[in-house]
Amino acid sequence: MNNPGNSIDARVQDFIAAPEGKDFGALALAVFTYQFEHNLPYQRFCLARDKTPETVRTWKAIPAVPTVAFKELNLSCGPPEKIFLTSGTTRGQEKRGRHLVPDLQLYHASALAHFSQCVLPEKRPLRVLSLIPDPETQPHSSLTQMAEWVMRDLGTPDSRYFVDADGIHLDAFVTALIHAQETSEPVCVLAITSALVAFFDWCAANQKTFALPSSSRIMDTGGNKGKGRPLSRKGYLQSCWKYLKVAGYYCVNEYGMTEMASQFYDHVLYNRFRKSNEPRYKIGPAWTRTLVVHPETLEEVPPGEHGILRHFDLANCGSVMAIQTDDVGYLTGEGFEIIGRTPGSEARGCALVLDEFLSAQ
Amino acid sequence: MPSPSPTDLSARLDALLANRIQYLASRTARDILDCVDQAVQRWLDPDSQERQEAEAHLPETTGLSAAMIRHVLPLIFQEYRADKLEALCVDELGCLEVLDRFVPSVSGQKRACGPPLITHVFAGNVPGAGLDSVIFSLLVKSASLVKTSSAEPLLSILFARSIQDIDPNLGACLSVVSWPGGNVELEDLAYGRADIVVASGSDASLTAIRKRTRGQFIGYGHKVSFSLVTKEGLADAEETAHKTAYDVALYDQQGCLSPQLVYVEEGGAVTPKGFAAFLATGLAHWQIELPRGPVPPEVSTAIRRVRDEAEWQALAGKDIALHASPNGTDWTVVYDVDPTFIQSPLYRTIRVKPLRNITQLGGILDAWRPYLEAVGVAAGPERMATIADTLGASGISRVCPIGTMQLPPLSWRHGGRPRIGDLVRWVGVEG
Repeated sequence: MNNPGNSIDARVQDFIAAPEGKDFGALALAVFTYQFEHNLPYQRFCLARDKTPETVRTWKAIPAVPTVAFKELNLSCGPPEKIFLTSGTTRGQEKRGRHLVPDLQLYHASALAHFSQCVLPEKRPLRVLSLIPDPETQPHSSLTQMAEWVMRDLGTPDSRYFVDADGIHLDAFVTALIHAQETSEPVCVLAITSALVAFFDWCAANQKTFALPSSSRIMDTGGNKGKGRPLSRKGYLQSCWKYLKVAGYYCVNEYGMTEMASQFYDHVLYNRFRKSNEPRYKIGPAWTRTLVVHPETLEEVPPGEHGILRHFDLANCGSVMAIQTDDVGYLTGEGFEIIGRTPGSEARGCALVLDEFLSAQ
Repeated sequence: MPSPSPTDLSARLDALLANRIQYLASRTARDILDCVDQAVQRWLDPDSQERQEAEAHLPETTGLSAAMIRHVLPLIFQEYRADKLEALCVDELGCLEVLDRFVPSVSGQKRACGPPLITHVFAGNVPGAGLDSVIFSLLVKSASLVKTSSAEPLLSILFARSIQDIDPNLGACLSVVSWPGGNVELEDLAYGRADIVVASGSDASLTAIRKRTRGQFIGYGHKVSFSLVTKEGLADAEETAHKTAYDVALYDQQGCLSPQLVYVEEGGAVTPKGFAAFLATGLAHWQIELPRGPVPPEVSTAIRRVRDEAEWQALAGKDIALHASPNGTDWTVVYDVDPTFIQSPLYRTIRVKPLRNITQLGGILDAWRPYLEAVGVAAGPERMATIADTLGASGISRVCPIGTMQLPPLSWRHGGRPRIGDLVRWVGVEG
């Protein structure tokens, strides 16, 4: 193999294009070998744990990189085609994580394939109304990149953004909703949860409700952390029905991270399409796996038991495939459910804990 | 322990006040002191029923290991012996008898009187925290209502039972209750009717308690402490590190007196980085002697985050060293050149930072002034006074030798205020 990079990329591309009957474990080990050889900080990280392609025998044993690593080093197997940055947190000043992506094509293939399965299973193009900021406002956001691809490749030509540097354009969004109602053309709303909550608040304050045409759907992401009022998942789904007449099974929550090329979605709409009535949980595409590990020992815990999520994503071929998150969740069915980010710890004794000091500043 | 109903609590407060008049007001302070001392002696006896019960159940209610509980119980109670309590009265009030009668003063005569009712609110579950102020209240002849944390009510209950056993009359002036925070009706009674409320907890819970208090309020907020090792303190770096590790390990670093960070002065026999390695050895030792208790998942994650950050910063070429327990998150030492004061996720997680000069500390500590409590110092006698001046000016109320951070003498003025002195009102007679 003269060009192992292209070769491994091509194998992952093939996997994404037609996953049926392909061996995830074998390809995962091949991707690990490739990353071990081409991503030198990752190699040093693996060597410190005595993990090499010779000693790692199953995909579960591939060393997972904590998300904090992306703040310290460029974890890439080659020169990046694009760099995505994590959003700054509410605490500001914190370093932002950098995901260097050498092959955007792979990212594109993975993101769209699973979005399509979970949000547009009928494969019919819809008008996309985006409450995710436009690329000019968020040039380094992986979420915006995904919205851009969805609108360009899966949406109708009149798809558009309603969030830019000036904020949310509610008037224009409302006009688009009314237009959808009048034409009975279903729409696909992509939204940062907090933007949608702001819209619900506007509806409540102005006593407005809308009825989107049947088959309209909403994909939301990012939760409502630190912005606006808190809203439970149940309250969120009730608001989707109350203000937009979109039923719960057309409301798909996305869970993704800048450091990963693949995303996870509620499989409610996919289930409706394939006539299954399983309860709501998150599924990843066939080229990902998720383990739940105990936060103290980092050992795998059985399905149903709470722990922190560790993802393996073949589409991250050009950076790092195995990512250790701080997200708390549990395995269920063929996927997992996420409970949230690990909260700051509460004081048990009389020592001042971190969150107390920060909230006092 | 079930929450009392408002009627129950009100009746309890009435009884406490009546019992105080009947049993407490006319007793001498020495008599009370002797009774407390007898109770304390039981707690110092490893075979006493109190100790056995406490050792059996406190690991569960405090989250500390059984070995830690066995280790700290005598340390807590040895400070409450009669001679120490009397010395504290002499230090703060002039003499013990001034609690019983008028004694000569510069302008005539004076007497110190405790109020009828003091309510104590314990928030956390570091065992023993707050017990001292209950003992002081009895000494100044005030009835005490103790609201324990719902997580750890046991030690207060057992101690009240010891007093009750030795002297039922004195025991009748002390009542231990518990309820989940936020019960307005109960809190209005407990805090509203007290002459003094002594509370420990976070700023938020202290503010809430203060709002319902009608009398005097004494609050002990959450605090941070740290260790300081000077060049001279590095002469026997291994020993100093061992003692520092003890300060970190005790109470699993949950106390306001637990060091959250160690500053090490450069230019000594060992580099600050070398000291961090010794500190790791010390923590490994104490993990065997006094194992850490189990930790909640969010703490494991927070400690892992500290470790991950250090590991990746080191991989990125920064001058950082990580020493971590081989299993789980039992203990963690991070050497980091950046001198910024950073809090620890606790549970035996500590950063070691180099200092070029002690005078750097003033600027570093500025933002922390309202939260600073104690500093454990390893230094030679020559520079001690200068160091104490610098630290005192930064808002610190206690400077102590390394290895004794969690063993404050009874006479330490917690929070920089008198302890018994704050509970009494003075009556002066002139001429």
